Amino acid sequence: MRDNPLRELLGAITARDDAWTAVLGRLDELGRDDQTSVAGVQHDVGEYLEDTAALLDTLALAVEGGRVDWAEVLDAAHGYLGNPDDLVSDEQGVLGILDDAFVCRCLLRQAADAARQRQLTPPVQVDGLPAEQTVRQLLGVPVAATLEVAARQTVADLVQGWR
Amino acid sequence: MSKKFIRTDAYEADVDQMWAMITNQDYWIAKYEAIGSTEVRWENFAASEDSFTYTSIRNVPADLPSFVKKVVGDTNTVTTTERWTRAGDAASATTDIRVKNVPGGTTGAMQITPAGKGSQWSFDFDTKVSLPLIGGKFEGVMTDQTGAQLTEEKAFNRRWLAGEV
Repeated sequence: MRDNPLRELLGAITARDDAWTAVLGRLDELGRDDQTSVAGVQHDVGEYLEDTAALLDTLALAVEGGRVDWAEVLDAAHGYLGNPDDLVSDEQGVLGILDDAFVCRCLLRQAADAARQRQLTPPVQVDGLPAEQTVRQLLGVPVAATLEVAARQTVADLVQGWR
Repeated sequence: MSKKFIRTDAYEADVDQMWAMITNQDYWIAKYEAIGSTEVRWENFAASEDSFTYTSIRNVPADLPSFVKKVVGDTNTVTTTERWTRAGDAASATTDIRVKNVPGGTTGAMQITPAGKGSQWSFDFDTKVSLPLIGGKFEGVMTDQTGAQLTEEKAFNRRWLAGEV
């Protein structure tokens, strides 16, 4: 199966001592720096990242298995993941890969919606997770909105050839 | 958005000589070798008096920025399809160029038409890369690469037409 760049990023970043430093800083700014809150966020964000990596694995297998109509959706997700100097730099540890995971989920969710609108069956199902709202807060509303718009434009291009 | 690329190259050779060149597979094999392409594979190559189609897959050497290399991978694998038609005193084509792992690609049209005693080969390409936020940067890089490659190809074409290859 094709390498999953999100798993590679996760492996590299979570091994760092300062992996959560930027996230903790954001929680402090958001007034959510009590121990319960921090532990909950770390758990939910970890689940969010793992679920997103699993979605990319599922899609990669589907593409290899014949869903070539989704190959460019996978390429688009990998393309954003491959750029370390994106909207939130990967240098910021877990916070720096949250924008990557957020974009991937937007791409997959919007592509799945577009497929269903065309009576096609999407190869992945993007479920809502407890961390969705927290991730938006950590990224900041303007960043999240920018990423959503960018993903929507990308998907609009990619699904043009779908019937 | 997408990135447009327009260019015209002049040749001393006439359209007949140009057609003879591009419909000769030996020309493509020699050209790819001359410009450094490796691992060349042909999905098809079919030429007749009034039509010509090919699809090639090859690794193309390119000095790419690191953010592009991250996406493209270690080898820049390019699939090119051209469909040519000869009509009257001109030849025209559609082209489709895809880079492995990059969503989107380059599409466009080419024409070889008489110009003075020779001919001119014109290119009208459109590059669209569908990547969130960074698609535009990719389009710029791919367009620059296309321009650089066509400059190399033009130099080779002149040598081929002069019988130097």
